[in-house]
Order: sequence, then structure tokens, then C-alpha cells
Amino acid sequence: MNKQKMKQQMHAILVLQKRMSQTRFWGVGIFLVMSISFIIASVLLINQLNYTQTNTILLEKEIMLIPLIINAILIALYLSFSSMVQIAREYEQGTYELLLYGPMDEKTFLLGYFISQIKIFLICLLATILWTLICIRQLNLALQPELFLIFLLSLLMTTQLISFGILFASISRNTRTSVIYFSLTMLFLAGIALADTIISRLVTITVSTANDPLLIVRDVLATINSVIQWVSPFSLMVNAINAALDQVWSIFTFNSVLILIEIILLLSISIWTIRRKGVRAA
Amino acid sequence: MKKKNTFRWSISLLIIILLLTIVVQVFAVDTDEFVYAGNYYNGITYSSNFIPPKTNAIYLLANEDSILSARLTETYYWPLTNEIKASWDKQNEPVQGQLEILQNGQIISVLERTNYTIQYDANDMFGTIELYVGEEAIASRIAFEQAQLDYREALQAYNEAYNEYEAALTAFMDKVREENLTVSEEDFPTEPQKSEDMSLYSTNLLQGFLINLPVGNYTIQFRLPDGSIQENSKKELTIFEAIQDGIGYTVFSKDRWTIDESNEEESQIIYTTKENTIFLQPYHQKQYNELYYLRMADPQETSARKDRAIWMPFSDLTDLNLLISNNKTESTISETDYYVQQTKGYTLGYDILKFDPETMDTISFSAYGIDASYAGQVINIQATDSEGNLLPSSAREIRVINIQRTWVVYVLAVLPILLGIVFLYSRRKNVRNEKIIA
Amino acid sequence: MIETKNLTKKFGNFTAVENLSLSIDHGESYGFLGPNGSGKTTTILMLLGVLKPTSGEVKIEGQSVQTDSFNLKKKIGVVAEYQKYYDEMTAWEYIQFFADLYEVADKEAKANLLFDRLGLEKWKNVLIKGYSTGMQKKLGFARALIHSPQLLILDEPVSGLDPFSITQVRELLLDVKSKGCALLISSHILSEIEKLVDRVGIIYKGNLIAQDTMQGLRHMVGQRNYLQLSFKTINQAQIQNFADLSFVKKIETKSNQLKLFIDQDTEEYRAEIGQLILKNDLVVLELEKKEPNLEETFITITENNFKQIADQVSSTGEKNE
Repeated sequence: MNKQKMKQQMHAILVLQKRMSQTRFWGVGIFLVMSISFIIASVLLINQLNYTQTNTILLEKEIMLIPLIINAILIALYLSFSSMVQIAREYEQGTYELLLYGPMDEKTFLLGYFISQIKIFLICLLATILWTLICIRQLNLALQPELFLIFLLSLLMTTQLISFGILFASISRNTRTSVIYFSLTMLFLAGIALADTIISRLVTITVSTANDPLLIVRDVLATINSVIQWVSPFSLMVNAINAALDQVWSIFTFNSVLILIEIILLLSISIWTIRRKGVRAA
Repeated sequence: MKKKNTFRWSISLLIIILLLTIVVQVFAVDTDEFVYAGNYYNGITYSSNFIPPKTNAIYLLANEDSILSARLTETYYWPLTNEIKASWDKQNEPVQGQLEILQNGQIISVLERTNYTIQYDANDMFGTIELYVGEEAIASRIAFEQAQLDYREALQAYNEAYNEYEAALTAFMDKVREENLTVSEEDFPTEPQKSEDMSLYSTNLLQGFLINLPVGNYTIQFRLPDGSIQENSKKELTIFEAIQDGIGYTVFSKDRWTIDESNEEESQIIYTTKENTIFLQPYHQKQYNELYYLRMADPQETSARKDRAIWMPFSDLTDLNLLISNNKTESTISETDYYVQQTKGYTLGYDILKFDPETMDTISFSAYGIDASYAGQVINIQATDSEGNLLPSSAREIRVINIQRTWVVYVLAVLPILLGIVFLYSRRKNVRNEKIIA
Repeated sequence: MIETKNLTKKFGNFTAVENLSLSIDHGESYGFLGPNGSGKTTTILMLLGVLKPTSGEVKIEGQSVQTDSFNLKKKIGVVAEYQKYYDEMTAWEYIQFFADLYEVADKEAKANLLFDRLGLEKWKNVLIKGYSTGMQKKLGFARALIHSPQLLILDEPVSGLDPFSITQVRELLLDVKSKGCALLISSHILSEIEKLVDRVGIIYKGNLIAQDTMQGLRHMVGQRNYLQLSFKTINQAQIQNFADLSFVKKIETKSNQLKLFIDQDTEEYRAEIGQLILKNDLVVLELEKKEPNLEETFITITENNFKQIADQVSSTGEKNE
């Protein structure tokens, strides 16, 4: 690809992302989600502090970990959902076709959306960092260097979720269908992990015979979960965060690289899909 | 139509697979297998493990005596824990032969079966546990049996003497009553002294192969008397050592002194509340590779990971001082004995007092007590040896949380939506949202 | 300016466009006509580089659209039939967004000028969702022209516009045309096209079945100019006298009204008709020379299949009695 075309593509991406980012802040949606995620994070954080008060001691490497993960997941889900809906609407309304009449192609279109969502997340992340630092200062919590790795990983997870959203929008080209399938996929990813944990615990409590069907359910769930762990943004992030807290940099790097590879893969498939499908339904 | 059929076929296939799994599990037959069983040293004590036929890796600590024995037993699959287990009660036969240790394909050692026994004093198990092998094992076992015999004889002699004492006491009391005598304490029959309970414990005299190797990767195989290699006997043997030594702390607080937690790493912060006292008990700990260490104990362990490390407590630490840095002031504290005194009256509770040998019976615990006085306080601690040298990996941070400021967290949380409303208002002001009919 | 050579697009076994070759010069306006499903949109999408042709090529200023699509797309403006907008934006923000996309220098001045010419100045800060259909259409013109394109592709440009707006838009289009912009107009409102186009291409079932000037096209399909004469009274013999004139190719009668279809190249007919009127002592109520409009030409062509049209083209000049 020649340099001039790259420059033009970059320009188109920047213009599109600027518009997307601007319009996002014209509504209250993102602000509402930020507030809700901060409130949930606050409740979780204060629960831990209340526990400390009851128990009189709490030994914790990173007290902000859970609140920050929940905060990041909520914002990431919102951004992936909204970017997916916006892209699907562009297809449905025909504005996508109109954009392609101009100096833009499928790749720049998707990357424009992608970068705009990353930019919005970075703004949210900045707010989250600010919130975290104030909480740490006000509540006399420890500021650990690993905290910044958690922020980095939340960025990676969000990026991966947004890529998932873009893929669903590119495949379905329909708001309702993409929302349904995306929701089901996310529920499946989170649900299997949760079910696996619950059933494993249930097995140790209730199962007394080797022929209990619950054992088969447990083994099936464990097998599915072991596969899902390699693709689920939530699993990869949690693995990487645990590795960062344990200072096992090989696992941290491995999971981070895996997330990056999946992002590239998801975006490539999205671009290939919309190119293949053309500008309008046949 | 085609889609519907595919769906039906998929469901049917899934059901068949599930049923087959059940059938395989229900009708799985126990089989006689060659297995290794071991008594491994884990850095503190000896424990036993079992290496199933299909498990190919064995882990042991370097430069420590451990035992592997070759046995014939029945094994079965236990689905509850997803493990192969041995039916030792049904069958447990030693297998005759030699254990060969190979490195890089070359036999470096051929081990003969030897006698061994493990003994310890139940009053101080970790401090006294000992593995005896060969002649020493026989001698130790004989000594143990002799000690058992002596103890029984002494116990019998004591019982007899006690019976005599009771009879004499009864006779004496009858005489005093009948004759209405005035007696002093010296006139009473002397009560016999019971000898100390036997606290020594010993395993039977067992047979196995003594393994004590430096760090490295080895292979073991079992050669039968006919010169052939026993099936399923070839295993990879990983000999490992601690990655590093460190100092951990047992932590508990004034208000819940019976509930303690372990603080293993410097990055683990100790959060507490104001007007509390934190007690610390330092201990020596060792860090091992998680996979190696956990698989040593249970070769079928599945959650352990090679790239993670695990801290294991090793021994208590005494003769240390703690250097306390608190708001630019430094002080040193030493270990103090404490006495837990139950609160008198109706209220359930207790006070932790410094032990005073004059007025108190026994020491409840010994620890380093640190006062957390006010919210927002940060206390840094580090252990020093008797000469005042700072001990590595002993630094910890105690933070007194400021629970009164939690409202700030909630206020911050609602700021984004307020900002959003400002943005929305500003947008509404700058654009016209109207329907033009022109 | 733009040239296509043997442009073909196939979707599986279906051929949407076949061997289409056309060219439009700077300052020329080209009417692109065809019924629904004839391949107009497919052709336009290929011209824009959005759809890859199965074979053939599109060149703009001598360069292939496929190889340098970004630069070439910047030279093209498009007014689509149905305007799609971002409802949350104002008209001004919308135009500024496209101006940024096309890297327009002095974008605010240009936008102001276009808003002024299209009569949108007063409503530029209104959210687009509040715009009427006609205003949205005009906003589409502003968007298409903000980067001063060298080729303007217009799909049904005046549909949804009121007569006043049509005049505004027509003037704007003639203005940009006069500045060298090539126009490719695809429309069903043929009377409007007629006022704007220099040449017309007719596409039918993926084939460009006719391409010429308006006059040439009429000639090609055998349609003639005609004289419409209304008399106070006229009898059959007198009608026959008109029919016998050498330049009259066909005659239609309706009570006292005659339609004389004449050879387009003949200019001497005026004197001969005048003499015949005097000779027969006829009282003329009306005399007007008329040309068949584009609509009639279009219908004539597409009502027949390609082979029939080809036959017609080859037999041009034959007298249709």
C-alpha cells in the first residue's frame, strides 16, 4: 500500500472517529453508564472497607481490583453494544453506503468506529484513574504499581469486546439481530464460567455416588469452559490480571498478546465480511 | 427442513456420547496395576503420596531423603474428584526388583530396596520428624518397640502401684475413722508418680527406595528380577529446590485474636481500622514452583501451574526486632508475651494484656504488637536481626482506613452524570431541535 | 473526465451490466436513463469504485478507480435518490463533517455559500431530523458540492423538491456545469433531465442500448419533428395533398387537426406548406413545429427489446406509414 493512500485512510479514520466521539458526548448515555459503573464500584469498594471494619483486618494486594474490573466490564459492554448498534444502523439507514461514495473504504469505516470507541474508553479510563486516585487518597488505600497494569488490561479487554461488537454488526447488519446474538454470546461466555464454578462447588457438597449425573454436567461444563477461556475477553483479562498480581510476567504477556491477536483477528474478519457483503443487501 | 434434521442429529449424538460416558464410568472394572507410592519430604514433614500408572511425572525436593516404593495394587477411577485411586485394602504387594535412575538416557544410579521408618515426637512433630533407613531403621524401630514395651511395663507398674495406693489409702482412712485419729499430711500413703505419656510415634518397618538427588531432571524405571523393565514404571522425576526464602507474618488483631491470616508477600497490604492493635508473628517461609510443589503432594493435581510460585511456611522466627516507621518517626519493638484475660461479669469478651509472670499463669501468645491509632495512618515495618541488620522480604505496610470518607466515593460516582447533564444542556442550547415545515 | 470500457458486472449467473462503455467530458451533462433494475445503480456503484466490476474498467482523468479510489472519489460528488442523514447532527455539522472528510480548504465559507444558494442558511443549526424531505434533498446537494467535485452523479435529483427548489437546484447545477463539472444524471423525471443534459444514454437489461444527443437519439429511433396544424375546416382530398408532400413521412389526423411528421433535415417545407394552404384556401387556426420529448423517446426505446431497437436503428430514415 502506498504512503499516500495510507495517509488518506488515516485521515478518513480520524475524521470518522472525531464525529463518532463527538456525537457520543452529545447524549447522556455514556455519562450515565460511567456513573452507574462508579456507583457499583463504590459499593464493592465500601463493602470491603466495611468488612475490614467488622473483621478488624484485611490483607489485600490490590483492594481496588474487583471494583475496577467491574467498572471496566460495564463500560466495555456499553461501548461494544453501542458501537455495534451504531454500525448496524449505518448499514440499515444507508449512511454507510453514502460514506463509501466518498474517500473511505470498508476498512477505514470500521477502524474509524473502532478508534472512536477506544478514544471514548480512554476518556472513561482517565476518569476512572482520577476516581481511583482520589479514592486511594481519601480512604488511605495503597497505590500499587500493578494498578496501572489493571488499567492497561481493561483497555485491552474493552478493545476486544468492541471488536466482538463490530464483528456481530458486520455479520448481521441489523440492529436487533446483532444485539440478540451479542447478548447471547456474552451471556454464554459469562454463564458457562459461572455455571462451572457453581456446579463444581455443588458436586463437592451434594454428590456422594460416582454415578451422579451432576458429575457429567460438571465435566461437560469444565471442558467447554476450558475452551472458552482462550477466547473470552473476561477470562483472558482475569488471567492476565492474576498473573500481574502474582508478578508472573510470562502469563501476563501471553494473555495480553492473545488478546491483541484476537482483536486483530476479529477486526480482519469484520472487514472481510463487510467487503464480501458489499454496500447494500443484494 | 435440512437445518431441523442437523439439529436433531446433533442432539442425538450428544445424548449418545453422554450415555456412553455414564456406561464407561459405571462399568469401569478395577484392575491390578504397578504403581509407585511414596513418602516424600515437603520441607517440613514427611507425607505420603500415590503415583497412578498413567501419571508420568514425579516431583521431589532436592538433597532431601524421600522414599519411593514399587507396589502392585488395584486402581479405580473416582469421578467425584476426577482421580485414579488405589484400593490398598484389597491388594498391596511389594514388587521385587531394582529402581534405576537415569539422566540424559544414562543410568546414573541403581537403587536396592531398603528398610525405612519414620518417627516423630507428637509434642513437636515438625521439629522432630526423622526418616531412618537401612540398619538405622531397624534399630530405630526396635528402639521404638522397646520404648513402647517399657512404657507399657511402666504403665502396668504404675497401675499396680496405684491400686496398692488406693487400697492403702482406704485402709488408712478406715483406721483413722475407727480410731478417731488426728493425722498430718505426712501420715497419708504416698501416691505413685505416673511416668510421662509416650509421645514418640513410628511407622512400621517399611520397604522402599531411598532417593536423595541434586536439582535436575531424571528418569526412573523399575527393573524386575528377570532383567526386564516393568510396564508403566518409567517416569520423569523432577528434583527441585526452593526458589527463595522469605519472611511471612501471621497477622491478627486485638479484637479477634483467635482468627489469624497469613501475610506472605511485601505487596500484601495490612488494612485495619483506627484504635486497633495488630499482632504480628514472623515466620520463615520458602517459595517453591507451584506445579512442582503441589504435584509432589498430589501427582494428579490439575490446578497447579508451572509459571506460578507458592509460599510455604517453614519455621517460626525468634530473636528478631521489628523496625516501625510511622509518620517520619522510627522505633524498634521486640517480641512480647501476652496474656488473654477473660472479662469478668456478664459481658463476653477479653482483654489482651502484657504477660506478667508474677500475676498471670501462662503465656497466651507471643507476638509483635503494633498500635494503629488514627484513620489515615501508614505504618511501615521491617524485621531486623539481633545485630540490627534489615532482613530482606520482611517489609510490610499497615494502613488504617479512613472509613469516614466513604461519602466522597459516592459523590465522585455521580459526577459523570452531572457532567452529562451539563453537556446535554449546552448542546440543546447550541442547536435547534425543531420541525421545519417549509 | 470519466470513461468506462466494456464494464461488466455479474452476480452469479445474473448479468447486471454488460459491456457498458460510456464517457463524459468536463462540463458535459449526461442523462443516464433506464427502468428499475436495468443496471443504473450497479453502473453508478462501479463508477464510484464501491463495486468491483467483473470485467472492464472505469477511468477518471485517465486513472483507474480501482487503483486510486481515494483520490478519485474526492473528485466525485453524489446526490442519492434517498437521502440518509445522521439525525443527531445539525445541517451545519453534517456538512462540516463531509468537508473534513474531503479535506476541503475554507470549508466554512464554502458551506455558507452553498447554504445561501440552496436557501438553507436560516436553518443550518437545526437538527437534520427536523428538516422536510425537500430540505434534506437540498442538504444532499450541499454535501455533494462541498468539495467542488469534477464529476457530479445525481440520482433522481429533483424528486421531492417543490418547483421553486427545482429552479434553485437547476441553476446551481448549470452553474457548476459551466465551471467544468461533468454531470451524470439518472432520473425518471425525463422532462427535467431534458433541460439539463447534453447527451443521453439509455440502459436496458444491463446493456447501453442507445447513447446520443437528444436530437440524435430521436433520429436514431425514428421519431421525427412534426408540424401541428389546426384548420377551420379540411376535407379528405386536401389532407391527401399534404400527405403527398415529399418531406412528409407520416400524417395523423384528428377532426380538423393534422400532425405532419417531417424529415428533420428538410428546411424548405415552410414555403411548400404555405403554398398548399393558399392553394386549398384553408383557414389556419394554429401552426406549430413540435419535437418529441425525452419521455416519449425513452418509452419508445424501452418498450422494445434490444434486438428490436437495433433493427430500428438500422432502418432509420424509413417512412413509417
